[in-house]
Amino acid sequence: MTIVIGVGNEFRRDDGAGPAAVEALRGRVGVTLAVTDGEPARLIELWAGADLAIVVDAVRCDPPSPGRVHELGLDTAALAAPPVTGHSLGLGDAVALGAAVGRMPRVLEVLAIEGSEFGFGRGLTPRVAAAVDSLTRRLTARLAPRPASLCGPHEPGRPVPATSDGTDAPGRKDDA
Amino acid sequence: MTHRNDRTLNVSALARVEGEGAMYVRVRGTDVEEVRLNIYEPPRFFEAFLRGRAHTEPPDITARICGICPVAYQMSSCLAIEDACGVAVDAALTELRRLLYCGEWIESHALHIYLLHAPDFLGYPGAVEMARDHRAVVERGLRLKKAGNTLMEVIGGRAIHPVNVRVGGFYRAPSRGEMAALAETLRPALDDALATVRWAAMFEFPDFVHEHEYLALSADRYPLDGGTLRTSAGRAFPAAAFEEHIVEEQVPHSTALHARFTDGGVYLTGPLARYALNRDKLSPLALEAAAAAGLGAECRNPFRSVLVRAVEVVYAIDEALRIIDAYEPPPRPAVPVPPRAGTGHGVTEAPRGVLYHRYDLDADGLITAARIVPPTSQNQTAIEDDLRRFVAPRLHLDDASLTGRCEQAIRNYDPCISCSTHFLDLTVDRT
Repeated sequence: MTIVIGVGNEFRRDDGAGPAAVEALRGRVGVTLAVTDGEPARLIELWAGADLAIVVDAVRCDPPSPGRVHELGLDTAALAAPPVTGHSLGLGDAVALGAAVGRMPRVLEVLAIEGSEFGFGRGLTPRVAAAVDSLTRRLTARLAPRPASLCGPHEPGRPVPATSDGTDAPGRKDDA
Repeated sequence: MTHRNDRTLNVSALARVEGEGAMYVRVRGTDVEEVRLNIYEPPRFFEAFLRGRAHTEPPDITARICGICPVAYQMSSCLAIEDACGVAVDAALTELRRLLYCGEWIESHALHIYLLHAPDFLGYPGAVEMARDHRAVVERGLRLKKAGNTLMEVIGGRAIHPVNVRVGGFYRAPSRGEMAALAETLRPALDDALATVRWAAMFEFPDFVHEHEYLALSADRYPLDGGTLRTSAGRAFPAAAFEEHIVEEQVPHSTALHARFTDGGVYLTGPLARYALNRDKLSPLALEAAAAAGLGAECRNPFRSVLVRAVEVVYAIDEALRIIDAYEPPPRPAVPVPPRAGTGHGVTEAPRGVLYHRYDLDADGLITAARIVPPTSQNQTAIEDDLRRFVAPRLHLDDASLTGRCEQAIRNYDPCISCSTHFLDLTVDRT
């Protein structure tokens, strides 16, 4: 099983990059999609047992380079600093805790998008929006649905329609 | 001038609490001169931007105040709006609300007990370090939290900021099949919850008691979803009289308002208060677990609040199973709530304590005024008072040890800073 997990809060500007990426992938990829707030127990529950888990999250860096995407693996993700939003445990804690209790995906990829604005409100800043667009195009090409003969009554090359209601579903898995 | 006996303890960002805050303690000689719980998370203005919204919107808007206790906000807001409109929901819907609320208690308490509070008692800097030595224990905590999560997903539509709650009830009631599957998830969780009480009962608790007046809802059942406000000093008043009895005031060091009784009395709300005022309403299984863990008629040591939370998790699972076992799909998922001009009040028991909402509506159902009083802001004065009394006999400790103990004392209250802002770092100033 492959899962793409968007972490963040769409009401805190660039912190919504992860959820925005998952929204853009909906209906275009043949993998499980989920959005969550980054709370470690929920994250661990989503990725435990997956063959591949791709986590898309916003980060703050110093010096900043908004829109830059950092690709982290199991070892480097554990070093991630606390999250930009208000709660005190973050992705680094989730990776360390998941590893300590043996509940990690076989492969973890973290795509960390550098943001610049994390205040109240909706909408990504232009460079972050462009980074999300570019990142989702790459993921779409990589995770495109398999041909109909393998995954159901769809024409080859046509995206598998989303089965969810289209709303974000923090903490819940939706098959795209 | 700095004297040898003058100290400042300053934690500029408290760890293992929900949200952003700090602690400052100034000691002169043997006197604890000042204790401040600084809540610097920015104010959030929910009360202001509820004005002008429709009477149907508060459950969805106020759920966004907190990712840990959104159901509390949904329930208090629904009760307040329905009160304003003169509507009472069907008994079956009240039971479903109670079931959803059990999910939030299980999830929130399991998170606090295992990932935030237990490391203090077992001598670890955090849950990750604790998990390396106590893997099976942390796995049990994660299973419990997942059980609460699943309950929230089935009844609330999703685990964070549930989407199935509406004024008047729900958008959709679960099927018998969904409830049966839920029961199968919860039954093993009951064993995990009982094991949690036995485990927490073995912690070493600092010798400390407080005398705060306890405030909690009281009803014919252990309080979650409504009732009369009562205190350990004998006060009793309905939700509608909340603002006659409790005042909030601004303090310079915090973006959260501080609450007191109008006569100046400091009070405490939350698990310790609920337990003291409602112990006899616990289910037989939860009561038995409490007794076996050494909890008496009341608990006045805030460090032992971890035990009370563990007992409340047993109760919440037991109560959820009772509701599921008796479940018949309701004839309608919601009752109509036509708007009318008026004022409504709602109080429920969030995991951290009493949560009050009040809405003023015009004839079209538009909100003209809103008031939200979350538990952590009510508890700030009591937390600061605890800290002052806790620090004084421990001044022989070095700054690092004393700071650590103070942080633990704050975590006793599971403060949800995000909720309370209108709300930790520790500074101990020994000058």
